[in-house]
Amino acid sequence: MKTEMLAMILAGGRGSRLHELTNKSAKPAVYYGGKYRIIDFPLSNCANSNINYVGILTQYESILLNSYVSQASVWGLEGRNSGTFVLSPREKNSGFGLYRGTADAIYQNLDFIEQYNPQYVLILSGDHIYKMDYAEMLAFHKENQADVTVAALTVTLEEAKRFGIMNAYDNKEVYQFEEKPKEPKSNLASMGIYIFNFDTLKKALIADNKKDTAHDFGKNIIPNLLAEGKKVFAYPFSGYWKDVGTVESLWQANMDLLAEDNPLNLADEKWKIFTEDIPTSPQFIGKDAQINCCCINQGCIINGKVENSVLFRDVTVQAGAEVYDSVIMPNVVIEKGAVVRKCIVAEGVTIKKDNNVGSNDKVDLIALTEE
Amino acid sequence: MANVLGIVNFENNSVVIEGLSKFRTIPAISFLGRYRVIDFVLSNFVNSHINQIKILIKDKPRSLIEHIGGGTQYNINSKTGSLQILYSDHQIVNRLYFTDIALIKQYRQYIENNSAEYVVIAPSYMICKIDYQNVIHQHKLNNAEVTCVYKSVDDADVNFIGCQEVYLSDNGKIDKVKVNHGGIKKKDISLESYVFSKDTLLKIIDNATEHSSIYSFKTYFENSAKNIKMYGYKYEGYLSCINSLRSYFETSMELIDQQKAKELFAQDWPIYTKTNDSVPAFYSKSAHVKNCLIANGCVVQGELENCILGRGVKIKKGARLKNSVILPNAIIGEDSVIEYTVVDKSAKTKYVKEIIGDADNILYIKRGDTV
Repeated sequence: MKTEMLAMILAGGRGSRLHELTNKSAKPAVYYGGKYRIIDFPLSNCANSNINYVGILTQYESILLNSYVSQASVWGLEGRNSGTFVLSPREKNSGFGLYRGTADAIYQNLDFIEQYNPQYVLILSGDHIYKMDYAEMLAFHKENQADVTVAALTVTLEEAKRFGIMNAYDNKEVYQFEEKPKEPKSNLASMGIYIFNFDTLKKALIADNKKDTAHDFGKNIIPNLLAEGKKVFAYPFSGYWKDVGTVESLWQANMDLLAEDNPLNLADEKWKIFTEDIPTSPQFIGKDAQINCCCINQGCIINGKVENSVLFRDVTVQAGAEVYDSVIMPNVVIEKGAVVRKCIVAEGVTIKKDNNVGSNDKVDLIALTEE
Repeated sequence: MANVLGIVNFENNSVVIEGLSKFRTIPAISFLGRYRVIDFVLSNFVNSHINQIKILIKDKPRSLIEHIGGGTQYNINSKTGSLQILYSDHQIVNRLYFTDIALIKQYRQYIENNSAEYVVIAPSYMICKIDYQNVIHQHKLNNAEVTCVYKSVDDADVNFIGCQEVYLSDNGKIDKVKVNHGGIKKKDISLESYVFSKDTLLKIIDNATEHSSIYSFKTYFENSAKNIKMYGYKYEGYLSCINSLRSYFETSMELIDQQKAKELFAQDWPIYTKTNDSVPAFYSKSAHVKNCLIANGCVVQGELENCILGRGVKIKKGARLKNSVILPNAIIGEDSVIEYTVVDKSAKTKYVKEIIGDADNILYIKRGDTV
């Protein structure tokens, strides 16, 4: 059976500014939103967009991520003509093939893609939090008879300096692509989401591989294709989109969920974000609990005070403990009398009795220190 | 245990939960927010390493089939294990004849061909946490034909009505089984969980059907306990029998208590259920919640005390709920005041602002109704 579009998720990055959160797992595996991992977003978007074959390219600290994404049934992709496929660097005839860049990672897996002989390839990043219908993007791509379509976010000109910026005509055809321009001419920022005609992609990757470049889609592949006169279109995206690269931005993205009518609307029954289901007990709220403006997952036992916070599964807040403006990851215990302010508390940490952690000035990350 | 077959029995004709069972059978009733009643017996089987499970059902198979699916959520191996529903293939003329023994008789060949050496039969409406490995171990030591699990209770005057009491001799043999009509507090109540070798089970079925077409296990043992080597296994853990709206309500309320719930929920004894991929529960600024069990997908904007909320329940601003059980996807409208009420699935309270029952008169709002 012919596959119309296959997705490849780039999930090899570390995200070093997330510090201890990414010591033992790559950034796409980082927890978000009370029960999810970041990579649940592109994977669920694929499932909801009827994309059935998804390759996940991993590299940095990939044990946890590999075992996580290989559970295809989490996203309903376990059927016959579907699947999630972990693509880590492998030893080849030519030696060991560490991925040297985003384009090189795809280049090294052209053999995988060819098995499915797709017409289009969707390239995604495993690092971003957003909901998007890739089927609509594909329709846009076909309508414009494009060779490449790049999803574009509208940003301010100040923010534009941090992005790959596309200068485009009114019909959204791109004539110039500038990576992190000092003086941006447009506010159309690349989201690192591309639809390629497979033929175009294959030729471009083979050509790029022969050259000494950064092997990067934004820096090399897209500008080269423009220079060759290929049709590149920008697909405008409006909606919530976050790249949570830092502890501060991860905290903020979690806090965004506490606003009523938050734009990400994870409760949307028509576009569910799927995630691993771990058996837990129910969520117990005790007699003396005080809960105000919170997002709390199953398995939590709350006997203290929790305000403005996001709690993952199996978190215990003992009587007399207080939690404010914080993100509390799975299996954390906050003991009697402890106070937590504006923190991200990493999985498995115990905040000891009467301890006071965090301050209102900045976001603190509380994690187990490595032995 | 590869050589044990677990059979989930259906409830007796006498067990009807007013209101709730009009729409579904007891095993499929939503319980403690995120579970169905049947999850407990199935988890007991699976946690006792029983990987071959058959579920006897009398009617309304739809919601049960939907819930249990292929059984992978119960950790049943999809190749070496099995989870099957035994539904009557033949028309049974009269419900009087539709007994557990009659149904098993229909599948006699099927059970005979099964490689299992032992069979455990347990009903779903007895909520408990029991390791059948221990029961089978004792069964072998006693060289028993049948082992029946019982518990010494001190509330048999009000609870377990219609269940059975067992009379044991000093060596642990059960001499007599009779229906509990109440009256006395202290009794040894049967959990209607039986262990026998497959051969004994087949013998009992043949013998029972030969003598009477309306024998069930319960009535058969009432008549024949003294003629078979039937031993008791004393169970000491949590037990509740859900056989009326009152007992459903009281069991639910009792398990809000975290200490009590520990008897049923343990780290090494997970209760499995089907995930619904709901978002974590959301508590707004106006929420006040004390002593509750809350499932994922809920949005709480009102006040709750001693309540259980199923998945996706919405409690609107100004609503005040006490001592109530709200089943999945119900919507409690603004300023509704509700006490001692069970609100069934997808019901809405909107026009009637006060729905107040009391401990002796639990009110029930029908599934899907708007009141």
